Amino acid sequence: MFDNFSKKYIYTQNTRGRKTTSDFLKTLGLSFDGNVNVTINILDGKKIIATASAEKNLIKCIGVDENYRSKGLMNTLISEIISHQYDNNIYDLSIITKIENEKVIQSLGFETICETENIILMENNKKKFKKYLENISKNKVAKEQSSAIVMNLNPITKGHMYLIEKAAKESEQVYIFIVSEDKSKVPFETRVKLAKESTKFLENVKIIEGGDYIISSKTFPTYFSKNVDEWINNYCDLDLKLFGKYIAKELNIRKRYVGKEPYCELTSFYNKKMKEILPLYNIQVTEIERLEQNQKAISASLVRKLAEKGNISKIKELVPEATYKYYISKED
Amino acid sequence: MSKLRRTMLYVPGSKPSMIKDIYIYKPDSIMFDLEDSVSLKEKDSARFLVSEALQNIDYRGIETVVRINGLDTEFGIEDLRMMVKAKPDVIRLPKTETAKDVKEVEEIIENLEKEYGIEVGKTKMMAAIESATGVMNALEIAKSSDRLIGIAIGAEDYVTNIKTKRTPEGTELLFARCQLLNAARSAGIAALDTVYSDVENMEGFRKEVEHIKTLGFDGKSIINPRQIEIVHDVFTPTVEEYEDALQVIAAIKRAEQLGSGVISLNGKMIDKPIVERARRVIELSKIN
Amino acid sequence: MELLNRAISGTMESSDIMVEIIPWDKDLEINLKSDVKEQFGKQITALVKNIIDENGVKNACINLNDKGALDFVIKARVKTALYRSTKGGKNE
Repeated sequence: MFDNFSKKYIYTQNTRGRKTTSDFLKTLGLSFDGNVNVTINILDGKKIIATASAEKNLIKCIGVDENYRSKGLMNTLISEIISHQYDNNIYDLSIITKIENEKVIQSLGFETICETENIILMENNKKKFKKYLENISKNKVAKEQSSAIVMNLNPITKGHMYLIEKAAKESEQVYIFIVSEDKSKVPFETRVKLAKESTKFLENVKIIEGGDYIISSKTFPTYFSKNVDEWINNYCDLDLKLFGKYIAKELNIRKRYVGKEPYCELTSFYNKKMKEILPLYNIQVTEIERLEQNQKAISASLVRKLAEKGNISKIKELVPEATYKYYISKED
Repeated sequence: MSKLRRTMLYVPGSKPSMIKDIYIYKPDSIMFDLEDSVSLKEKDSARFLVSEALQNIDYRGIETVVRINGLDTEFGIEDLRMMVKAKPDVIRLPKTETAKDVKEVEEIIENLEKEYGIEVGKTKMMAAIESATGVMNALEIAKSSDRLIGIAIGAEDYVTNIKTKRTPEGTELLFARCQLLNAARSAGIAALDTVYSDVENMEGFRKEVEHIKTLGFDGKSIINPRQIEIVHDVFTPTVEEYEDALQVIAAIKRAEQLGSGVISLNGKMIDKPIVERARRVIELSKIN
Repeated sequence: MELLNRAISGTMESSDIMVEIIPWDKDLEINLKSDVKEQFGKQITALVKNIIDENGVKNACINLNDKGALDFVIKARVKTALYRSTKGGKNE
């Protein structure tokens, strides 16, 4: 009770603080996610004995020193984060953590949304996931079986169109989930708009906002940092289970299309896991070769690079008209 | 006998688990802190916690003290509003530098007492001196108000203010301690020493307590119950002191029986200060 | 008392209680989560309701997560949440 523990807040500019936090987490076999915007540490003197971080409404990188396990530090940390985020008007919180923490976190007002072999996703707003699934189901087009593609479309290219058109030809109905996370260069609304424009002519293709539970920071916290580490496996499990067990059901999805990934190590690992996991939920995974131009797969990152350099004319042959028009208008 | 203030146990006003049990440790005083141990975010909640604690818990004779934030902060006024209403025994001012600092707070307390229908003068005050200016003004501070029951030295801030560091020997605090002590005695109020933060070093703590007792202090601020026993022990008279005191009392009785106005012991005259000290020694011995 | 914003007070540490106040347009609702809900649930809820009523608050959802808080702590935390709710939900 008269412990002389102190609390320390570490924000993004505090590189030294984040390094010591990362070192501490390593001793517990955990890794620090550079995307977090706030870290709260509890110290005994100068030594970190517990830590938790948050990236907007996702709490993660939680760890307590073994020698201080019975001190209720988890309660202290989570209370502190909840209060801190409240001041920033963030009320609905999610936690991704190891399964062994489930009971403790439950007592702090969180409920388990999805569980994998090693980790769980928990939330304190019990209705949020339900509402999300309801919204997804509102997009349902009455067909027996449908296909899905999950894409960033940053921006939509001819390569994407190739995949989409192939799926549209082979399926009764195709749902395109656009990843909502706005870490992409092209803003989300624009990506949606361009996608809808470009697929207008395809009767059986519907564009859906991916939302919080599709390859967003929540379900795939390290996706956007593009570094494959030990937790990638866990996050893949979580994301794919959310999709396979819950989301796909709302729309009768029985097939998922994906483009072969030649460049990004992380994405190709994810695709490999997809082929292992989704069939467990009766979802077939179909991997399609990328559309090539000059022996190079057409990629959105190439388009973005060209746009940055101002090479708009080169873009024209790589993207559908709507995207080209977008870059032209940006020039002005 | 005047109120014992050998130990003043600090409790952060933001911690319910500590507040609820604190009286178990039986210090002479409990100091609920709204100032340095409470984070900015929790200044408001600490106010409510301490207020409710004071109004709902029976502290069984232990003196209740609240350390408010200074009037120069955005919290001071609101602290006073809620705390005077909650009726602690003493309100402690941090970082007091002049008599005016004390008088400003006193005026507000008086107005609040009137507003709340509390007997005017009931809320006592204490001033913590934590800077060179405060130390130099110790006497005027000590004499600034009838409500003032004591002054205390806050070493951490003081030592920073005079641009040095704390050492085990405490040389850097000698002047401040002596100045404070003399000012307190001159004004007839209590002198309290500062916190000792190394709670693992019981030996070092005892040394410091013995040192300040020799200087004449009435007591010390405590941050951990383990420190209480040591202070009470150091402040307990020795067997020798007790027996000497008994002799003084016996001499008083003899003088009374003989109807003499003069008390003498071992051929020497015993005057009032010695009598008072003897009585105090006996009381202190009885407590333990 | 006019509630402005959602507000939260207290912690889930031992002997404490976390109090969340959410203004809404429905009637007063109090949700209690506590290990001693069976023995003391009614008492705790009544105590909280008392303070809310005393402050003239009618349309709010109160969420409580109790970790063994004594009455004086419950009172303090509820009053703090009300205070923060009228100040704009933040400790400024």
